[in-house]
Amino acid sequence: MDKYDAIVIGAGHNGLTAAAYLARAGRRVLVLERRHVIGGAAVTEEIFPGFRFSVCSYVVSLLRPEIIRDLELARHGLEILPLDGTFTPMLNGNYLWRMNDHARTFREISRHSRLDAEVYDEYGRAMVDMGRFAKDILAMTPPDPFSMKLRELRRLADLGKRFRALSEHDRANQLQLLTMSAIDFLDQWFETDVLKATMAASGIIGTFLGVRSPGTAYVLLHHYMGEIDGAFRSWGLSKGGTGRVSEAIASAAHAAGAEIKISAPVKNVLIENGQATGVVLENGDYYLGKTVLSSVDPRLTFMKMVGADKLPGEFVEDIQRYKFRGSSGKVNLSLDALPDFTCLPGRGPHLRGAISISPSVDYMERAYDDAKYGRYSRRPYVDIVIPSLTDPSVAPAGKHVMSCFVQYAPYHLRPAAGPVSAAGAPDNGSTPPADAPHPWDVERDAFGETVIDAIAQFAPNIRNCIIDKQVLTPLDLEREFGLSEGNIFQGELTLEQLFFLRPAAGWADYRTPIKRLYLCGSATHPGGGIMGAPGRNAAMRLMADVRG
Amino acid sequence: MSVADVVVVGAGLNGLVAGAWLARRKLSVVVLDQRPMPGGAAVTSEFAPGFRAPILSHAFGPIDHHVARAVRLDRAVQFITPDPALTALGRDGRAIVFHRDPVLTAGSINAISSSDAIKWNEFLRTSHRVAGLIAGLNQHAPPSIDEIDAREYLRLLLVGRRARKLGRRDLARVARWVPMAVADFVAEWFETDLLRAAVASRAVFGNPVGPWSAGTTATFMQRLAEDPLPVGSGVTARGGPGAVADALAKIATKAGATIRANARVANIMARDGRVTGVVLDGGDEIPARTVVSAVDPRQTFLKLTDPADLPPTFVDRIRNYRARGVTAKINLALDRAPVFTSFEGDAVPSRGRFVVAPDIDYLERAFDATKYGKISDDPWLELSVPSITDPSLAPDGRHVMSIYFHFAPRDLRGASWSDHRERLYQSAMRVLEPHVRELPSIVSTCQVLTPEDLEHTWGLSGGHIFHGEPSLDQSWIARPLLGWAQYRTPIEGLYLGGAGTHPGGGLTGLSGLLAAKTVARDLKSRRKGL
Repeated sequence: MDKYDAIVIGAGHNGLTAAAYLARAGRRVLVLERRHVIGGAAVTEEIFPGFRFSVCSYVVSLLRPEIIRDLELARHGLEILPLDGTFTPMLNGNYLWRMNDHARTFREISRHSRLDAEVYDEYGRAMVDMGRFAKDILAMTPPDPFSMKLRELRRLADLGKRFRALSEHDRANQLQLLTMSAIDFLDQWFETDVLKATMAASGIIGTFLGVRSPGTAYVLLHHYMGEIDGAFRSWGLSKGGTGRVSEAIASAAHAAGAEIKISAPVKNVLIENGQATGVVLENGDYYLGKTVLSSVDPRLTFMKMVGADKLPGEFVEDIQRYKFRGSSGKVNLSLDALPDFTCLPGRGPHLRGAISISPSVDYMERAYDDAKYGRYSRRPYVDIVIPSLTDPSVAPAGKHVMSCFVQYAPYHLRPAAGPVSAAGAPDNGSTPPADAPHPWDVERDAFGETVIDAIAQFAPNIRNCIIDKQVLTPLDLEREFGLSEGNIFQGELTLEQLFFLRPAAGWADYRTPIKRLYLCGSATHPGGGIMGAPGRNAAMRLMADVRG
Repeated sequence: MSVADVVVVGAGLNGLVAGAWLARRKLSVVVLDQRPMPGGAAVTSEFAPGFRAPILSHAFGPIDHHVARAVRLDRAVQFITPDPALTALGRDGRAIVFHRDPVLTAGSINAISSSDAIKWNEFLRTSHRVAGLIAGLNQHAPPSIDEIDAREYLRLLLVGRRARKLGRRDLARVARWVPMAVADFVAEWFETDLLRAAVASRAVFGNPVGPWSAGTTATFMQRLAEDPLPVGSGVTARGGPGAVADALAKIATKAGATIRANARVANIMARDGRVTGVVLDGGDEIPARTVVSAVDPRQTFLKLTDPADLPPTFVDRIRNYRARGVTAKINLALDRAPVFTSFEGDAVPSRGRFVVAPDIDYLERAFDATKYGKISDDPWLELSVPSITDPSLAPDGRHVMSIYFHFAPRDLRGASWSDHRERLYQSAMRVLEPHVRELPSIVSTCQVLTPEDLEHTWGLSGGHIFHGEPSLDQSWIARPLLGWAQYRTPIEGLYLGGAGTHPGGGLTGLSGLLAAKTVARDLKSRRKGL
């Protein structure tokens, strides 16, 4: 039987990126995808006839420019369309509408606070400076300071040196961004509640944290990193849906000779003498390879495909402790008319950007409070885009697709229980019978209604516009897309799971305790979002380790 | 008028330690405090006829043994280390008693969960190893980022060696634990709600955070570096915390220092970027070569210093220094010894402290209220009955009870504290009623101190008991600000020496000592230079 140089498990954008880099380096590569379609969470599917949805991931953020360049993705069909501005309706009938147009944004913020409008630019400049420092970290393989090896410590010291080279002010900003809550950080700059709420929202996407939770400030940077990349607009919609990103990468991989097989679910990684030698599919087929790269999350990779018995005990402990805790859901709607917002009626350009249901800091925080105690938010944060306004190819003429990203929808729902007093009866969490349906299967419809209610509060006509709706709970993300506990980033993006700790201390260099088995998905540095960096970094690591 | 070598602003624990230590080095020292007695948060005073209570803090960090040795405190005070140290009161009469002896503690845990009992010892060993690294850092001023001198370099090397000795596994624990939420941390070790909450409560004490807030494990580790018991030893002194303040004042005075009560500093004076002394409220001027401010950074720079003496960016950064107090205090005079319903007869562990926080959710819900500017409906409480180990505090057969109340945010939304005193008391009593027999009927007098009182009467900015939140961006090399963590300030000769500097926090006296050492070194090199 033929032997591949590399077998990639999972044809998400990271798996494909790794495959493309390897294939272009002359390696023989096979990509195996469980689903009937490639893309993983970066996928476009025609859920309702004529309506093409970016089912999961819906905006392209931070796709690394070097990947676009190296893989010539434009030639392979990638086209990013600008997503202009963010529109936030408010509870008092007012709204906040930030646009890419500088002067108009200034005027708009001035309506709320003259001071904030003036500071907004200064803030932007500071963030760009910060982003410059953080950007290079995305492309590096994290050092392993725990090894106490001189080489690794020197790499860490280099980072320290770069930090020292910053001005006093930038250093303080950097430290604050890394550790503070988005709201505490923004409080230092702005006074307008809705402005802070809607900016902070980006910090909680995909995490089980609230806007006031320490550690949420960092993502504020991501919005500004794109600007550094210059001509390329890294925050936008992919023409033809997010799946087009995956397709472009797949096309690049294919052109370089990689094979991609769909409907080919991997059951096991073959291991001989502590070394990966190939994979076995669910149907018993097997493929041999000199190396195996897994772009699926560590729980699936190690607990299911490798097996705990083949791994060191401490590593298994770390992987078991690795936190997923999916917190988001998705509602995809096909519409025969556009939503009409009470605060800004009509089909103006405000519908072309992101529409953010994040009317106040308290609203956001209360949504999180619900999740902490095991229920989905009664008034959720919703991030809406209507891609058909920018890219009419995704819906029949005159009709629209609307993508609603929702938080919070905790994977682990608890049976409803009121607060218990300090002396009262304990909450005896009685275990449901084994054949009981999963709580999310019971709650799915009600959850969908809650999301539509949250939108209807600002755009009452929404109910009459809906033709069809698809509700994805974290359980669905797990079942359908293989994301453990429905975490869209393959594991929480909290400080204790980032950089040299992602996914486990000592194993942040894309290698694993199994020789010739590599990780290349979002569960490795720098983590989730359609960045492609994990796939690229892993491919580089592999090529340095194993000669072709 | 003679020029003092050092004026210390604020005669709290850190101010007194700094004053005493510097005076013992033959420097002329004046310690000033706005209140009628020294001690700051460490005071014992009569709040009802015949009843004396630890008005604010009812326990020390404990005082670091290097500090105690440096100012010869051990001989002057009789410390009380209660055993058991803490009892966690749960629902349905369940309780866990934390003794000084881990075997006894494990025995108490065993009544609820045998697997947690088995883990207790391993938990202690592992977390002590990790906290040991932090304890090492607590003994020294944080390194500067820009100019690492030979002495700091050597020290960092030693820390590095120590870290290396810890080994790969523990080092990874440090990195993982520091930014983690304490709720996750305790869940990695224990299954019992009550045990989890008892340990986690220590990490959220005094700060506007809940157990699910990231970074709270770092606070827990910091507390563990100060005190070997994970739930705190609750060390106090015969005569209450005020006795320690009195002893320190005596030591300082004996060494030649002047301590002035009722002397509120209105202004720290500076000329050409150098400190020249302080002005008191009445207009008295006290010229000094150096000034150590042991009050919090916000007060020091936003109230006592002329902004013209400071770089504008520095003032901006101090304005953003977060000190949002969430602690209230209740002191009760009791007609009888309190009887805890969880215990009968001889088994009553009335020594030490008691905590009412049955599970992590309870703590988190209590915290949730602060986010919306409200007092917790169901507060978590830590209380002690100091008159049991120290009968001198109350008339015969009577007792005093000291209660910390969380969470009570300094700034109530749409309300003022003067209307909420009674509510605070009522909700504390409601929570305690099931745990303490005949409460509140045995209460003869109560004193309620709100965060507003802490700010107005004790001068704690924002009513924050630790002089600023110990979040990751306000700790160690960044306490109070990144680049200004070596006790020095932009004004030459003005130093910070309170809990708003490294290592800060729970009444250990280390900040005062480390600041004093920096002052002494600088004065020496200045003399050489002259």
